Amino acid sequence: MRLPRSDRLRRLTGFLSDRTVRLAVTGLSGSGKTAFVTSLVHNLLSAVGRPARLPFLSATAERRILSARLGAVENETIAQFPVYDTIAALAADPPHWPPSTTDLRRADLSLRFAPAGLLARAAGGTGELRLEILDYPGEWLLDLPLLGQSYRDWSRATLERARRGARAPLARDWLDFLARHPADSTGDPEVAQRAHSLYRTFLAACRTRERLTLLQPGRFLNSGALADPSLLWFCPMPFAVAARAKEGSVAALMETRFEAYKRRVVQPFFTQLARGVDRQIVLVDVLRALNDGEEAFADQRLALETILTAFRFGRRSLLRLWFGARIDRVLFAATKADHVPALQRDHLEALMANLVTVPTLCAKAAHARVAATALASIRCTEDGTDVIDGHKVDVVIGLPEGGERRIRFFPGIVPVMPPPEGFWGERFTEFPVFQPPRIAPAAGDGVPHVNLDKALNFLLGDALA
Amino acid sequence: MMTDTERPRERLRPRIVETGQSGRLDLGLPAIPEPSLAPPRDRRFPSAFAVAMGGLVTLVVSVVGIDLVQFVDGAFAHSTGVGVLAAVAVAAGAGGALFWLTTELSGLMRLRSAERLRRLIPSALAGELKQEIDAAAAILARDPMLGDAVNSYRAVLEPHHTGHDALELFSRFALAPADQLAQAAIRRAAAQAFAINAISPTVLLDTLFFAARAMRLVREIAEIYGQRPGLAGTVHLLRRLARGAGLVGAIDVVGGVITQQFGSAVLERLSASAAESAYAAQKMARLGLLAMASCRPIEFRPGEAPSLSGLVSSLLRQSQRRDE
Repeated sequence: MRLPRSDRLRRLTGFLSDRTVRLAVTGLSGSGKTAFVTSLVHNLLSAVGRPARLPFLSATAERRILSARLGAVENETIAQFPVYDTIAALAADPPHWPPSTTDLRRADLSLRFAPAGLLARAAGGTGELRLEILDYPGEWLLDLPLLGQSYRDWSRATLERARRGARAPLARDWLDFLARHPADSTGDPEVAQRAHSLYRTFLAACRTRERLTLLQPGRFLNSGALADPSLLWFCPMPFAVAARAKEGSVAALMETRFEAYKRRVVQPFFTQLARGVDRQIVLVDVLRALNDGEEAFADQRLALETILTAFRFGRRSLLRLWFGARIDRVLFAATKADHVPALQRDHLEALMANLVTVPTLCAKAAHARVAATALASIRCTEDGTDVIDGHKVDVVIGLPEGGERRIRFFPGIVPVMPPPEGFWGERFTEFPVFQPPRIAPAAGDGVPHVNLDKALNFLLGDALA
Repeated sequence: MMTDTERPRERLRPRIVETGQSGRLDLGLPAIPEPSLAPPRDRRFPSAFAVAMGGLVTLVVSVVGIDLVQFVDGAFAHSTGVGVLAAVAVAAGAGGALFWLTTELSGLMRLRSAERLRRLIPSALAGELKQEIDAAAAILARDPMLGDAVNSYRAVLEPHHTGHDALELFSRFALAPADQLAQAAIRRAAAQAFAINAISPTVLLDTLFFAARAMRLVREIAEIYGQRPGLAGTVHLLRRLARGAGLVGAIDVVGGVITQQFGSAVLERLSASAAESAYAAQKMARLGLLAMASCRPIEFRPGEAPSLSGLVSSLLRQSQRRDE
């Protein structure tokens, strides 16, 4: 049956406005990816009834979002993001933070909206945005650079780092063991497993004691659901310059496992993560790194730059879509912005922008749009003032998780540039974890946040236009 | 707000202080606050002209007052009934004059407070900016048509928003609807200027109409932005407009240039008299845009101001549609 002309026009404008956006939420462990996905989903589901939560997202400010619903994940290889569980954690009494993700998860959201374009408005049609969001353990990202490295190169770089700075005392047991079992000794699986175990202990100590970030392979700290755990039984081995692993040696055994790990674990993850991604948000817990000291800060920066080399940036075009999609918008976001008072959030944003100068230049050179911001996906504090050492300062006030009395937290002065040597003092280890606000389990009122709407406008504004 | 700037070496270390308060924070969306604007006080000393004018006004008021007292006294001397009538008449006249004076003064005060805000906002510190914008919102809220727009702005503004966030939200939620109303007023005035110019029998009538309509447009735009000027306020606004525009005559110069640019596109399609009418409409639109820029509580940001060509062309399209 032939459709009336108005319906045909509406269908045509719908065809032009409908779009799928695949958003990669990138961030190291503890950077707030799960909180970001939860807040994003809940706030967009609440956008129809409570658009005031997202005033900087043009589509909600103009009340153009008509409906939002959570879709079922069609791809069976990736499990669904547990939206209802994470929301239930925030709706509990007392509310608590949802647990970190231990495996790859996907959330699909479908938004029906009134397009802002002249043609679509005249035709009275609606558009649909299908948003696919990926969440996964942050540690796994650190494996992506391994895809471009040989076992020898990776071993050399890792050993060099392990012998320097805060890593050196923690690596002593593992390095002593390697000294007793040279690379060209017979490939005994038990020796390999013992070396792996010591290396894994070293990585865990680097993370918990020194708060370091560049700890590879990431699956050694969070293995996820691996079918064959023996894939992990390797570690870096010292090689002489230009030397190759002798056949049948422990180094050859390690190299074989390293290559199998890359092929069977890292490559499939990267394929899932990077396939068809056209928007990316990189979440960075800059504030905690600042408080963790100079080495932790530098390590986080290096880790970030290393990870971002694995992604492909570029402007969207038909030709590029044909030969492989590229990321055309990247947002670098310093998380936990609610841990600093309003005035210092500008500092945090500037620091974030300065920390990612190199990746920004790379992305811009490929004609991708890049921005930096400071955000809190779930806001737990309010601003206040206090007097410290005779200085009147801005602080944030919140209820610490598990506590009964509110605290005033002064985060120090956030520098706008990567800090110089004189900046660093003793590490501040009491970085507070605030209790999240209690939210309604059903979509309606949304989740309090800082700048989430600005981030969404940058990432999705054009797709909702 | 930081009161001291520390060198990195001496920076204040992070700190946690326990408070006496317990319980969760209420982080719900804010309730819409009641508008409150105390007119700011101008602490400057009055100018010599103002002192002189004040003295003269005092003299005139005194002379008139004494005359009126003598008038009432004389009426009572005639008879009590006539005296009461005269006293009532004088009281009514004085009340009316006082009411007019109050209206004029409050209109002028509103203009002054709006101007003060315009001066302060570009240089306001982050903390002050929100207060200044709140005051500007209170001014706009006086327009019944913009009450909802201002309430929308207040509904989305949260305590964690910075001053710049507040400015952006104010521009998006409160000023954008006001701008649309002002543009509609300009289009109406320009259309009338176009029509009267086309049918006016004499140049004098045409000029008189243009002046009257221009004054009404300026007052209309000022009202849209919550300023509601009286006679004194309108004079003040026109002076400000003339200053802002450079010279009213500059409109003609600019208009001439635009007519030349439009020439090939428009004049080929319209008769010479219609072109003159289009020029009158364009002058009115230009004046309206200047009034908008002058009365808006916050200056236009780059790319935000409506363009003259857009307004004139939409007007011409309307006119052509009417002709057809």
